[in-house]
Order: sequence, then structure tokens, then C-alpha cells
Amino acid sequence: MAEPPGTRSARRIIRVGAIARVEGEGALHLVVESGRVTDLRLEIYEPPRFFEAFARGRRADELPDLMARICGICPVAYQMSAVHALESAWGVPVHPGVRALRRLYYAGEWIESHLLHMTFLAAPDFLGLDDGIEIARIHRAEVERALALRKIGNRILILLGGRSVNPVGVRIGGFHRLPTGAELQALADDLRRARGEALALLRWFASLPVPSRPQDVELVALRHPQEYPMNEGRVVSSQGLDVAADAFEDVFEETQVEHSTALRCRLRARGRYLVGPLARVSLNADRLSPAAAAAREELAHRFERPDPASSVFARGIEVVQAIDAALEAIVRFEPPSPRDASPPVSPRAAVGRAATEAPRGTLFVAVETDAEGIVQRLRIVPPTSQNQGQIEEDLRALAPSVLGLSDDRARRACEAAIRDYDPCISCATHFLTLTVERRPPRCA
Amino acid sequence: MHEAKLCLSLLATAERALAEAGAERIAAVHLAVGALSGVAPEALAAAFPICAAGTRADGAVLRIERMPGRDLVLRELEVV
Amino acid sequence: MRVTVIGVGTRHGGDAAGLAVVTALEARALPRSVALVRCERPLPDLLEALAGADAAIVVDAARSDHAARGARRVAPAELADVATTSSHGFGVARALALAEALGRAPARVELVAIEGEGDADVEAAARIVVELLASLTAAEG
Repeated sequence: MAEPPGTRSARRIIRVGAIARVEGEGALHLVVESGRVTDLRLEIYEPPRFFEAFARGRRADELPDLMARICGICPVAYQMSAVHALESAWGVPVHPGVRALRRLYYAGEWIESHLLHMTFLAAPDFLGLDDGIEIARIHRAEVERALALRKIGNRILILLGGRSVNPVGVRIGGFHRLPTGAELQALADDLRRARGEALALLRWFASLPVPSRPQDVELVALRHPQEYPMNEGRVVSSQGLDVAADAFEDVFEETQVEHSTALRCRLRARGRYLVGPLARVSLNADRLSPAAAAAREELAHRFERPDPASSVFARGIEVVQAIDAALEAIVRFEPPSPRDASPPVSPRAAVGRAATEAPRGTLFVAVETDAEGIVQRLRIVPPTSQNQGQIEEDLRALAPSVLGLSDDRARRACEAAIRDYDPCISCATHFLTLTVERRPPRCA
Repeated sequence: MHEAKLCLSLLATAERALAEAGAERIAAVHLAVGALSGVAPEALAAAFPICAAGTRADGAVLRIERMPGRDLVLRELEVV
Repeated sequence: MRVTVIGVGTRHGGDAAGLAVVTALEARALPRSVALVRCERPLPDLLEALAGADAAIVVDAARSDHAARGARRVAPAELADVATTSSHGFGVARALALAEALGRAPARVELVAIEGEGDADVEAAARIVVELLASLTAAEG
């Protein structure tokens, strides 16, 4: 009924009283008809989206601090991707010594993140245990080993980032504080000892009943002429893709999927793809350090076809690789002087793009600033959003085998499969809300 | 940083209630946050306008009441 | 008896209370057998801090009720009931459980929760810690 002009619509109060669930960052909905899964919808919530909005109107030099808060476990990759994008936009020169320290910084984050995942998320799944606390009771020596290794990663983050929670040490062009020669040497000594420990831990994982789920999927990662890629390289794939990071937006597109609040990233040409340690190891096997390459050789049978369940081994190999990359950064490069680490920085009205390898996979950032250095636009494409299509496909193949299980066991089986991708949400032990809709068979 | 996700799911619930009431838009949202819910009211308040932008709750006033317990409750909506 | 007092918190916001208690205790003349540690991340810092002590007192900001103030001792069973606000799921409760599973937890672990963020609340927590220290050394005989 139309309101007469001039009448103000009456406001009314609706009582709702709905209780919102605080846990459960992921939701999986299955539709089952006649015992077959006919539809599957996965939704994984991602924090980075909202940072794109928060950043608008802020000074670009606030970005390193802001970006570090996106993820408690991988602050470095988010922070550094933004810094690289800004340096690209503003033409800021980066000293080789700074570049080496940044690889050290990434190595620290990979070590911490991979070990946390392997020990407290993956291993419990393989052993049928509820969580890492139980694992610590039963396999104390291995958990202690993993924690000791993690500590080294943590030390690196504190050394270069100032602290490991919301690291603040990074600035456009360099670092606010440089480590001393003595600090780096002490770190190098511990890293040399750590390599053997990392190999031993990987061997233990190889002895666990790790399942196998090979599938066909295009692998995407960075690739560099000399290095195992962390924060620099071209974007390549197992199907022949080879473009500069700047061309990311031309080759990949994000689309809104109907059932999800998240954006899904896909290759314009071919759709679904996979980023992460498995993709990196597969596409850069010839760039691994000797120790990491030998470890990969021992596990070659797990890398014959893309297999998300083999990701744990890729992570273990990357821990060894990160240790060696960290050592190389310390040993091969001249530490920068304070002036080298604080080059002059002048904002420009420009767009900068960068892609780096977060522990979870390729992370792409594009930032646009005005002439005063105020952020006009920020785009973040996190690894998890790039993997969502593949995770869904993986679950589609897995779903029939979980239908016969109890609700609890079905949910756990799906969670374990999702955890192989190490998405940002899998920190909570039970992060998945699984709903199964059983529809009656349609009449012929 | 899950407050934004909570906003999204609260807004989805609010939009359903709005549709059921046959009203046009949401002018105010009244939430009650439990002390043990693990939710930071400030983060919720910061995320809300961003999540509500472009929806039928665009520009809505958010009122947060603190209460004991672990729940987060969408108490009521003011609609037009 | 070696006792380690661990203040848990982060340097910004209301979560700094645990760290502030350590600062308050540093100003007092405590026996040399008492170690004061600041812990910003339950994993790994709390695990580290617990090592080598005969007893530990863990002080952290917590909320049981919006109106509560001051500080109080927390029974271990209560810890399980508090929703974790840690950004990656490894809060104090889990870190303590992990320490115990690894055989790294001292025989006696006491928990003190600070509710509220003011100087009076920090002082209240410091007083409780000092009382606990006295009773621990007295028990030793």
C-alpha cells in the first residue's frame, strides 16, 4: 500500500533474539539425493577482504603495520607484499643486503608457520588424535623437536620484526633496526644445528600413516632464475603459465560465488588451480638446497601427481629449505648499513603490484596511492581464496566416502582434507560447520 | 579478527527478519555481547559499517549491550 | 624453591595488564629465587618460561563479567571454561595443557586473573602474587 506523500514511514521494533555462533569459520553444505552428492558448497571466511576497506584513506606507511595484523601466523607475507608493492609504485631502491635480510625474514615465518601446522594440525589428523596436546603426550620427543625448531623461526621474526606478534620492524625500503653481526652469527650457528633436526622431523612424518588423494589440478607458484622463491619471481604454472607478477590481474580473475561471501580466484584461461608448498616444491624442485633436494628425492613417490595429502611433506621439505635459505642470507651477503636500510622514500600517485610466497601460497597485492602517499585502493588476493575452487573440488571427490559416516566423523574427515591446504581458519580444532541436506528422490 | 565474519552472519539473520516483517530497511541493530563470548565489541563496531555498506542495513545505528555469558545475541532491529 | 612469575599479555590495549603486574613486582624487593618473566605469546613463550621452576604463578588479563574489577586466583578447572581470545587458538589454557603433556610444567602452577585495566587492579594482582609467594615458601618449610 503506497504511503501518502509527506507521511513519514513508521519505525518499528522487531524482536529477534537470535544467537550467533562464534566458532566455525568454515561452512560446508552437501546436498544428497539417492545416496549421491549432487551439490556441494564450501564457504571459507577470509579476514583480508575487510582490510582492503580499512586501508583506504590511510597513509601508505601505515600499511606494514596494518597488513601484519591480517594473520597472526603469517604477518610477514602480508606485510612484505604490501611493502614490495609500494616500493614498486614509488620506485624505491632496495639494497642487496636488505633483500637478503628479507629472505631471512620470510624463512623465519615459513619455519614457524609450517611447523605449527605440521605438528598441531596435520599430525593429529594422521594419528587420529583430537589435537596437539594429545600428540605431545604420546610423541613428546618429536613435539619438543618441532617446538625447538619453531623457536628459531620465532627468533628470526623478533630479530627483524622487533617482535613476533604484529611485527613492526619493517619499513618501506628496509628495516627500522638492523641485526648486529653477533646476533646473525649466533643465529647461523643455531640454524646449522637445526638442519639435522628438521630432516629428522621430516623422516618421522614420513613414517606416519599419511593418506593419499592424488588429483588433477594446475599448480601455480613463483619462480626465480636462481632462488627457491619466497619474495620475488615470475608467476608460473604446471600448464605453461609464465608471466611477471605485474600481470597477475590480467591472468587471474576474482569472481563472487553465489553461495559465498568470499571472492574466488580463478585462472581466466582454465579456472581452478592450486598454490602453496606442494605447488612450490613441484615447480621449483631444481632450486632446492642440496639437503632439501635430497629430502625431496627420498619422498619422490609422493610428488608424482599433485596430491594435497602430500602437502605435509612439502612443508617439511620447505622447513629444511628455509633453514638453508636463512643461512645463505646470513653468510653470503654484506649486512646493509643503516643508511642502506633507510633509503629516501617519496610518495607518488601510482599503482604498484607484488606477488610473494606466504607459507600458504602465492599472495598478490596491488596498491594505489595518490601523490601524498594516501592509499586510494588496496587489493589483496590471499592464497586461501585462490585455493577455494580446488578445495571444493577435492571435497566433491571425497564426499561420497563420508556419507556413510556419523555426522561427527564426516565433519572431521572433511576438516582433515581442508587442513591439508592450511587455510587461515584451520587454527581452531573444529572450524567447520557441516550441513547435509538429504532430498527425497525425484519421481521419474 | 572474526568480528567481521560475525557481522556478516548477523546481517544475514537481520535481513531475513526484515523480509519476514515486510519492511524496507534496517535503521538500527541492537546486539548483546557476552563477556565470555570472546568477541571484542570495539572490533564489532568497527567492522559493522563496512559490512553493512550497500545492504539494507546501510547507515544503520549499531547498539551494543554487554551481558554475562558466552553468547552473542541479535536482540532486536529497528526497521522502516 | 624457584618460583617463576609469568605475566601474560600484549603491549597494547587492555591485554597489557599481565605485563604491568610484572613491572609492579619488579619495583618490590623479591627474593632472588623468584624470577619475573613477561610473556607475549603463550606458544612458545609460556612453555619457555615454565622451564626450570619448582612452581609458577601465571598472571593474565581475563574477563568473567563486564562489571568485575580487581584480581583473583583462578582454579585450573575454571580455565577450561573461558573462551580464548587468542588470535590463533593457542591461549594460556592450551599452552599450560601442552606444557603439562610435555612434562614441562612445574609441580605447582597458580593462576591469577586481572579483571579491569587500572592501576588499582594491577596492584591488587601484585598483592595476590606476593601472598602466593609467601605461602609457597612457607609450605616449603
